[in-house]
Amino acid sequence: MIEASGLSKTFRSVRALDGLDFRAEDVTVTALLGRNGAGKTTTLRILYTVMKPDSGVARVDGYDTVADRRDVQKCIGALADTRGLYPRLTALEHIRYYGRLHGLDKRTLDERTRELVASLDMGEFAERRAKGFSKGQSLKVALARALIHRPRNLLLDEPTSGLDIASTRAVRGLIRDVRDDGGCVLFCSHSMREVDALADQIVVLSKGRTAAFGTPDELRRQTGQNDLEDVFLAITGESERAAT
Amino acid sequence: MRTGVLVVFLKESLDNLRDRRALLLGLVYPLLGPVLMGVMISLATSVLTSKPEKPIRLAVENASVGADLIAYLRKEGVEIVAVDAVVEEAVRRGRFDSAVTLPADFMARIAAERPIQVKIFIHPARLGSMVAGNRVFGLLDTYSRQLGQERLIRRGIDPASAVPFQIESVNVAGDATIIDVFTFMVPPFFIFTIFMGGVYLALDTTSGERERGSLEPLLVNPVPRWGLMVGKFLSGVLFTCIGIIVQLIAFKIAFQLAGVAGQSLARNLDLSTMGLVFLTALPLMRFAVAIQIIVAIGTKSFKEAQTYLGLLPLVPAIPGMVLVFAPVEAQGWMMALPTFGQTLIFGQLVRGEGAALLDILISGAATMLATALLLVIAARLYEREPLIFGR
Repeated sequence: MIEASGLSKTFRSVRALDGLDFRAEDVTVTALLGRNGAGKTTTLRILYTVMKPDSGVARVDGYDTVADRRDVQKCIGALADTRGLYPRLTALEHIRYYGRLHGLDKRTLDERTRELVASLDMGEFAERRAKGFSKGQSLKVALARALIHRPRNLLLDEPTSGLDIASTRAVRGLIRDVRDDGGCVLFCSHSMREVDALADQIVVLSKGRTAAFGTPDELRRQTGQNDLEDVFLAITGESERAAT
Repeated sequence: MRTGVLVVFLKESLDNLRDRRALLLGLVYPLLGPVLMGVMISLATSVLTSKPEKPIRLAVENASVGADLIAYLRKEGVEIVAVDAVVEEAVRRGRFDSAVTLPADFMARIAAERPIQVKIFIHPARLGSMVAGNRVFGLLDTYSRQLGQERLIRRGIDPASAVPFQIESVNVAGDATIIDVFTFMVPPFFIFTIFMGGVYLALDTTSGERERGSLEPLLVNPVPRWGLMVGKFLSGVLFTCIGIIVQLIAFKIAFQLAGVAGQSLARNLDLSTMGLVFLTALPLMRFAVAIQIIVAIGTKSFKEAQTYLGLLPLVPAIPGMVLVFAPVEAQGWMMALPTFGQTLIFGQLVRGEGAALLDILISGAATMLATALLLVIAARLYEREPLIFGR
């Protein structure tokens, strides 16, 4: 479970987060939506411990992301917007590197690696070095290394951008598996198709605060819109400007 | 507690081994010094040892007026080229090794026993010209003294009374030669390698990792950040060690191939001396890599860091280069200065003087203390957000 209460963060003169509150429950996939610059990436960065909030508290499974950084890191898997691969390491070496940093023993590591390579359909490029990987291949490697320790909580930035249809389905399947095993998934996306297909709950950010929260159907009812894109625009205040 | 040090160390080492550019740089760079020194020593040796056996080409103005002198010089193996007038340009350009002018009234002055001014032209920047000039000077001096002695004997005076001093110079350097000056140039090359060996790795694993975007996901792993830093640090030290070992072996081979003078240097550089150089260098390598990591964290981009780190080895190499021209007597406190102490010890070892164990320990301990401080700073920097997202 992921909770944020009163999160604020300022970069020089830009207020990225301004007292953000929300909650992402277990056995739930929660989508974090917002326009560019709304604070989605900053929120994820605070939650996966690479950034500290100026004020407020973020918790994952009850652990404070600042005070209990190590405990949080053990129970999360993170996909950053920059996939960040090493051009001279193979796909498998990326996965093993993170597995070892998580302290997995060789047998568990081999077993988990095999499973991930199969479920993400990475067999064809598993032994190849990352230099020259397509966007989709890079994303799969980054995702596989984030999942190597079977985290109960997933924090994903655009988890299917750049993937083909088959790979998108595979990733969605993985996300649902984590949820069905009792996990908590929080993801950012600009694709409403993605949100429609995956999200059980939606948090809409605007100017560093929670602008709306609820299931897709609740938000549809609230805004009187049927299409999720219209729902999103209505909440973020874009709908009026778009109409004129 | 899992620190991740070993995992990161192994990954970074493998990654760097696969980086052909870094590897080439890391292996070729240490060879530059030995190759340069080898070539310089063999060239200097060939000039200094083979030149005197070769006839000296001496231009002489008014050669016809001093037949006896010319005959004497020819007998001593000097090749005389009679010229109408000495042109300085000809000596400057190396057409002659040296040149001499005799006054037109040479014979008349000899007969009248009046002083005769003889000019020798040399070019100090040409080793061959210096050697020839010295030799001609010596020959003229001997001829002049013989002439004086004959005159004294004719007057019934003991020639020895006209020479109160018998000057003899004693060589304290044993069989050392001018070539040994080159040994002062070896320590700066060690310092360069120590400060350059891990540079690429320190850059790639810090600034490079940040620019690639791989630092952010790496920091999400449940290991302390100082553990990641120390793993990268140790990998940098490993590649610096390889650089120094390559350089030591290359120096040994280059000296061995560089003629007689080089071979005496090669004898100084035996296995135990090489071992001591390595042990002395080890704390300094850690010091160097720690500085590299701090510079790489503190700068905005890979390129900026590259600029600073390219200049970095110049600073510690300066004291060593100064020592080439102005050697100092080593004092205990100097050993405690990182890089300066090592430069002095390297010099003692390379010249075959041997270094005091205490000095090696002082320099090692002081440098390690400084390194520990730098690593604490680096670990603190690793906790700061600008590390991940730049400034």
